[in-house]
Amino acid sequence: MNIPIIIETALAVVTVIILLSIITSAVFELIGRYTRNRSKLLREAIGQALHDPALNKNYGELLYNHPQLKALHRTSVDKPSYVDPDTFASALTDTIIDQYETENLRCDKETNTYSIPATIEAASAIQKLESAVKEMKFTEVGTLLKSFTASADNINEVKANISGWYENFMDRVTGWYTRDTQKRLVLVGFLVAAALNVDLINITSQIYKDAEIREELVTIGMALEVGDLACDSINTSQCDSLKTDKELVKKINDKYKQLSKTGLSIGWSKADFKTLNAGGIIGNYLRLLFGWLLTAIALSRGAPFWFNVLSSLINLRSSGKVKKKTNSQ
Amino acid sequence: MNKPICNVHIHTFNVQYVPERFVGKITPRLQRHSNSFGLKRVLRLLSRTPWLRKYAAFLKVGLKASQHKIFHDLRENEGYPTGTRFVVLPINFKYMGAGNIDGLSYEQQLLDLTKVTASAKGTLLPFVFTDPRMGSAEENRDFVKMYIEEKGFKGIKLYPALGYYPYDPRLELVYKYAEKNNLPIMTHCSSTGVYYKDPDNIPVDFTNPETFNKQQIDPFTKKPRNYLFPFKPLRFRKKKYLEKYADNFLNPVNYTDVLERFKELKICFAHFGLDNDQYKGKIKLPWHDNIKTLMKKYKNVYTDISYSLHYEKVRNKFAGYMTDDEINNKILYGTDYFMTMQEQKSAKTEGELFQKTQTAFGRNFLKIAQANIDNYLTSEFYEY
Repeated sequence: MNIPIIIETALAVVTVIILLSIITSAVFELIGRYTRNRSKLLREAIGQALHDPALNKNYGELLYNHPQLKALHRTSVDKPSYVDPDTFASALTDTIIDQYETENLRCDKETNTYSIPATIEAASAIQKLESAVKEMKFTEVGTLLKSFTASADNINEVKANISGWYENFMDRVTGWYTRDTQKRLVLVGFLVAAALNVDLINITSQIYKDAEIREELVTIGMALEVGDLACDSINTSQCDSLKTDKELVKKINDKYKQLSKTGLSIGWSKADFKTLNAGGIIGNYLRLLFGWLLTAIALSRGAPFWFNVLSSLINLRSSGKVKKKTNSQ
Repeated sequence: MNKPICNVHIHTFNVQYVPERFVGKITPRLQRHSNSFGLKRVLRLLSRTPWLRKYAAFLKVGLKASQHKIFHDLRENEGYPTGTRFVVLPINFKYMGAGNIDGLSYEQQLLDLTKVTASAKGTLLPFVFTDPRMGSAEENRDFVKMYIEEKGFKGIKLYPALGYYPYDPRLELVYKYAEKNNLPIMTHCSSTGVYYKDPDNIPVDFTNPETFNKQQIDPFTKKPRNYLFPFKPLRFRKKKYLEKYADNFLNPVNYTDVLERFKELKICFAHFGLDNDQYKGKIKLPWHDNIKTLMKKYKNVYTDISYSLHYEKVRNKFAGYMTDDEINNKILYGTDYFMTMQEQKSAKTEGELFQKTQTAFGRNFLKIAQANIDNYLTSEFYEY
């Protein structure tokens, strides 16, 4: 068994998976643009954390009515996919104070005008906030909100506490999103594998047998940089939302062309259908489906995972070469 | 100086305050996921389908960002004269068996409404909605009292179709308080509208209700009054049956228990007891005539022409009532905005409906939109 060829084959196969993962991520992102997965999850997470039926308050929902968050919406129902910690903290403190003031609005029977008591009107923001949370019942959300004010001397410290909590909370939300994304990526990966007719078994066999394709792919793999993976769907960074649909489609095209140029048998041709139909329809189709499924499972791990594998393989290959060189000396 | 006119029946709640199945199972999806396809596209799609068109019209307003936005758009863009007043009727949908309210609670709806009222410079006159299931008789009275006396709410809203009878003993103290203070009550009285929707949870008191003032004789049919309704659990499983069953809650006869105990109670039967099926002659409920009887019998029974007025024939019929001295002082102008957006046959917009009603009533319009409403709204706590 020729170890260097096996390592090079593995390296080439991983390169193919990385390029396909980038395509899958871009397709996933495009779909996400229309299904708004990220904004939905963010809304659900904030809603869950700040909804307190016992208080009859849904600060999550109220927060989305705040002008600072509304400014991030494209339409009244189009919610943001990212809210930075400072905006969140500022909007939450405003919302609590606003609710407190509204609760204390009183109507003058004679003049039919509304006002809040002068003592509340004159109070500072931190005093209003403290009074508001003090009046809250002992509930999970009430306790959480109280914890923000307990150790703070001024409104900025409260906001800093909220920002800190929100950042930690968002780390957890990112974890949920990642898990959720991986499941969805299997499906999208399968669709990509089917659309491009990428059968991992077939491709591995072709790469192993064809030195020219293998070398071409190894060269591409060696040239790949972390920058190529930026904004991968698994890593939910905000930069995704900055990309236009056109840029994403271009990314898909570029990577597909890069793969096609290597001579790898991907994509569909009439010959493929003939081959499929020629020998035992069920057997061929089942094998193809299994190949696509394998591809989909591989793609669901995301490009960053395969990039680490690629780096390890490159190191392994280099150390093998050095060892060989040393032995020959 | 003439007092401003008033529309005595509008709504400003949006989808944030309604339960999951408010307009069917599509509500939460539209509420949460309409952004998936783009709001305009969803509404355009709904508008193309005749039986969904009314939902599209409702959602067009109901999906607006806030009560403030809905109220502001109505006040500024529909051609009402400056200073026109609007009675806003909130509703607590919690007990209608249509699922959870994932957005904002009824208490929040009232709080938000208070805030809009405070900024509306006297043009928004909020009513407080009450439902006997919200608490005991004392709790319900105290709830209403707090909103009337501290928050400047001007009256009380009832909506029995959501699953209760108006003679429920838990409302007795509310009526007592309202009568004592000459407070106006607005109650839904039309076979059309939202209704109790949970076929799997039918409370016993639906079919065997308690009343605080049992009437032996039905004043309309002159026959013994029957409080027991046939209980056929299997039939409750059918949505259509539940919708029809809601008529039992709404029937004007139920109010005879209330009005016989509280003879001075100021109560307005919304929609004049009419609904779409009756305009089309599909069914014939005697409610419209019953309400006229009640208006003649009891000093403070009113009706409004809201929703019903969208039909030209009905509008003209109502205008004809202005020659009847027994009831012409008790007919109020209201439109049921934005529910009327579901009916666009005779008027596409609220402004158009307003204009057409003015034309139909001629010089009597001021009577229904000003003088009658003045009498109806003026209470111990508010002078119109």
